[in-house]
Amino acid sequence: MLNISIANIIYTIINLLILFFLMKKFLFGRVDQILGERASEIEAAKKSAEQIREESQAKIDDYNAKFAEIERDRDRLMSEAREMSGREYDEVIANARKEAARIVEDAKKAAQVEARRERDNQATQLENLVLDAARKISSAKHDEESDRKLYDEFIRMGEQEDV
Amino acid sequence: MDIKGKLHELLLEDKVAIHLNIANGFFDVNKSVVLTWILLAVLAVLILFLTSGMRVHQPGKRQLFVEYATQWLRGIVGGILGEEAIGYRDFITTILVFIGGANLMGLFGIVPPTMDLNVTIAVAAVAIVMVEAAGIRALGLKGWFKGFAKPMAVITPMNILELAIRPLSLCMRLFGNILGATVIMELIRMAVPIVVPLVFSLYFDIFDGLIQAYVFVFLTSLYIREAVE
Amino acid sequence: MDLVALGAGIAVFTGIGAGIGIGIATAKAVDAVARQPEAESKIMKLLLLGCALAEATAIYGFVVAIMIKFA
Repeated sequence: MLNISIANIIYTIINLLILFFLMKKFLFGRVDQILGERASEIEAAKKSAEQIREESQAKIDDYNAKFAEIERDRDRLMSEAREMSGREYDEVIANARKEAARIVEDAKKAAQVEARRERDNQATQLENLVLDAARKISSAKHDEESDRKLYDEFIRMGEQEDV
Repeated sequence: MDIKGKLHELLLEDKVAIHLNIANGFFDVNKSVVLTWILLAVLAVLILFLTSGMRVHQPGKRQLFVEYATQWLRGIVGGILGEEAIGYRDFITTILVFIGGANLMGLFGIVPPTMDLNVTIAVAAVAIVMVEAAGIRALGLKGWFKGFAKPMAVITPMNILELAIRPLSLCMRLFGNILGATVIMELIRMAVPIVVPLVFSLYFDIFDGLIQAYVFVFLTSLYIREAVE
Repeated sequence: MDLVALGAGIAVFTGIGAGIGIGIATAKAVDAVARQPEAESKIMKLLLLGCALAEATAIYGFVVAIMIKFA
């Protein structure tokens, strides 16, 4: 039972080494390979996901920039349009004012003309009156009383005319 | 058959399985070695079966099992070895599988190969060679020699003695445990041939066998860890 | 008288050491579990390992006894 045989010890050592290489090659090697491949795949997937994320981030940034530009353009156009319409409005208002002023002016002129004509009219009437009075005076006798009467009548007529 | 006869049959049987007529029977192959060949063949078939058709994607149950089992065994050994000696993990795991498998052969009514002193001596010798080799590789030859005088110069003889005591205790512990378990199992089988041996074989063959394999590997890993530090 | 049997019997006295050792280890383990029940699995693992190591002395005695008797 206890006899030690060097040869058997060596056989066992060889057996152990064979088992080691067997396990190393077929068990640990294969398992490590699979796990390594899986790990590298996960790593690659992670990397690609990261890349995609970065790309999409860049795209989003790009879009944001474009959007901001568009916004700016829009604002500019809007303000331009507003400015233009404001100017037009001002112009229209100015024109209207000018027109109104012209109309007023015309009206004033017309009124003046009317007034002048009226005055002229009155003047002619007065002239006629004077002429009439003069004719009356020249045709009547000249005494003091009749003269005064004539004057009074004349003044009354003139007052009546004036009213 | 009485107890004495049974023990004689168990302990004093002729261990030679294959007799070679060279060098006065020096190269005779023992039964235990033939049994380890069988164990190797079984393990090889098992490994090849389990690892065949491994896929990176959508692994089958078989592959999941073998991946989990491999990583679990390596984790046990790696946990004891520590970071610095992690390179010896695979070999220590192999020793664990070898001893565990050999001890479990008692389950099938076969005398375990580890009951032969030659096998345990071989495994212990491999273990101690690896421990010292790890020490030399980690510290250099000079550092390894200096390591004997640590922590004090006084205990240098003890440290040198340990060189012999460690493998001796490793091999004797394994051998004695398996021998004791086998002898007790044989006696139980002799006394009560049915049912009872089944219950006891759960303890002696499975529990004790695996515990001893673990203890062997645990101590070897501990020695290696100590040697590389 | 067969003195060989007596020698084998004396060799098996190593079992005393193993018994005391395992007893102490188990007592301490019980203590530890009582103190920290949540660490039970870890303690059990260590206890099993310690018992296996302590048992070794008894096994050495057993091996020596067998050697004396049969070798």
